[in-house]
Amino acid sequence: MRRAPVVAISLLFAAAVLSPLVRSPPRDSYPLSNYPMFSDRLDAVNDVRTAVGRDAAGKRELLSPLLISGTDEAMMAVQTVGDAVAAGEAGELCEAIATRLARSGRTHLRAVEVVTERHHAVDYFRGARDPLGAEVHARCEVPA
Amino acid sequence: MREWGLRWFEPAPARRLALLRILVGSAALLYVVIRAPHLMSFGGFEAARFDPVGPVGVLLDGPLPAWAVSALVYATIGAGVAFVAGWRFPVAGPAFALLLLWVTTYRNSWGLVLHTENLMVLHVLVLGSSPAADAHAVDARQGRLRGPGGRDWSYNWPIRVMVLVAVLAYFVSGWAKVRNGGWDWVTGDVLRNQIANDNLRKLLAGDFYSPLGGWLSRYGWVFPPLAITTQVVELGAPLALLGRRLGQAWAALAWLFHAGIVALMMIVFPYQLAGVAFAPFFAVERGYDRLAAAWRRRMGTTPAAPYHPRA
Repeated sequence: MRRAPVVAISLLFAAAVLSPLVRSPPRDSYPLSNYPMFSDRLDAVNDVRTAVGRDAAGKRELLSPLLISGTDEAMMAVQTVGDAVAAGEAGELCEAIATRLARSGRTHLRAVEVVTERHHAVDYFRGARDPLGAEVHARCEVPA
Repeated sequence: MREWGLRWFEPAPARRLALLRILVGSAALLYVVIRAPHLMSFGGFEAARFDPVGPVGVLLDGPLPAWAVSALVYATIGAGVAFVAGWRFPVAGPAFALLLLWVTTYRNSWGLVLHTENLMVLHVLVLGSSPAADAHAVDARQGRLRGPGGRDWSYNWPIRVMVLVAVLAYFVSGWAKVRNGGWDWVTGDVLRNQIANDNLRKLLAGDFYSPLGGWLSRYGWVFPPLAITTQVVELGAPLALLGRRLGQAWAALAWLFHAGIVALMMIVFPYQLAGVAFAPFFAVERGYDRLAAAWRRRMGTTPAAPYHPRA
């Protein structure tokens, strides 16, 4: 085996892994990432988009990522809600979640809400559980 | 201490590279088998959510039909079995590497790019383009081994590339934190807010979160030391290239870093936490021989000479 191709392959891998550093504007990709997670300046106060269930008394209940987005990943669920709200499709997402909820056996939940809640994340874990603000983008009934 | 970080052309035993093939390949195969339902679930997503990245973005304008998504996952599993077994490796090696790259990229092509499999995929790509099945392989043939006693530099360079790829990936991650968050990332509340917000998002999306991370976010003084440790691991990663012991020390620190991420954020990097990502920093064949000897003692069988591939 000759050494020159090995040096070339080695340099190619190194350059590929480093290449996200010179992407302009910086953007994430896969598998060559600029690993933007947890690198942004983030305030303690942030909006969280999610979907919640309501029982007959109106009591709020959290839904699983599988119910919200059809996958088992929480971040995908948050992303799904964010994308739907941004695209003006919160109603369609709400209906899809309600359909999945009806099949899940959680029959005590009567309605689904697609919401944006504003929280102080640090204060939340100090016990301040109520959102600083909330906006309901869509509400729909769970089919019987 | 022998400098080894950049010595690409020192000889290494074929067994070391072969055992790395088995370790890394098994981890990747196990990942695909366990996550197969998840990987196939993207066959049913609405086309409007398709946001291709990496090689998928180069080759596709729209999503694949569901049957093709499933077929590619099954093909990846089949190629993965051949990769681990070392069967017809000149074909199976690149095939598994490319299929793994494809199915994980496709999974990341729906608006959310995750970062837990990047290093595993890069390592499989390196192994798939190397002579990693000259030993410990079902079809290892006589005369395939290179160098005296099965030791040759061609078994060393892929391991060096795996180490290089690992440390550079961590360096890029550290650099992004300084570039986006400035040095406030180390000295200020950036990490504290990241951990509190990440846990809160998971909690509100009905997923597992870290009660420890949430509780600790009440105490601001905890986070600057954690941020400094993070940056020592990430920006300091290239130091691991300077020597064998430095590399192993960095690997241990990086493993602890990932254990901390699980504890504080409930984010699991399986490849790193299993230790497989850091195996290229170690002479894995020695560990294999010790385990085999311990097994023989336990089973009361006759001690045998360490495995030597047919030369």
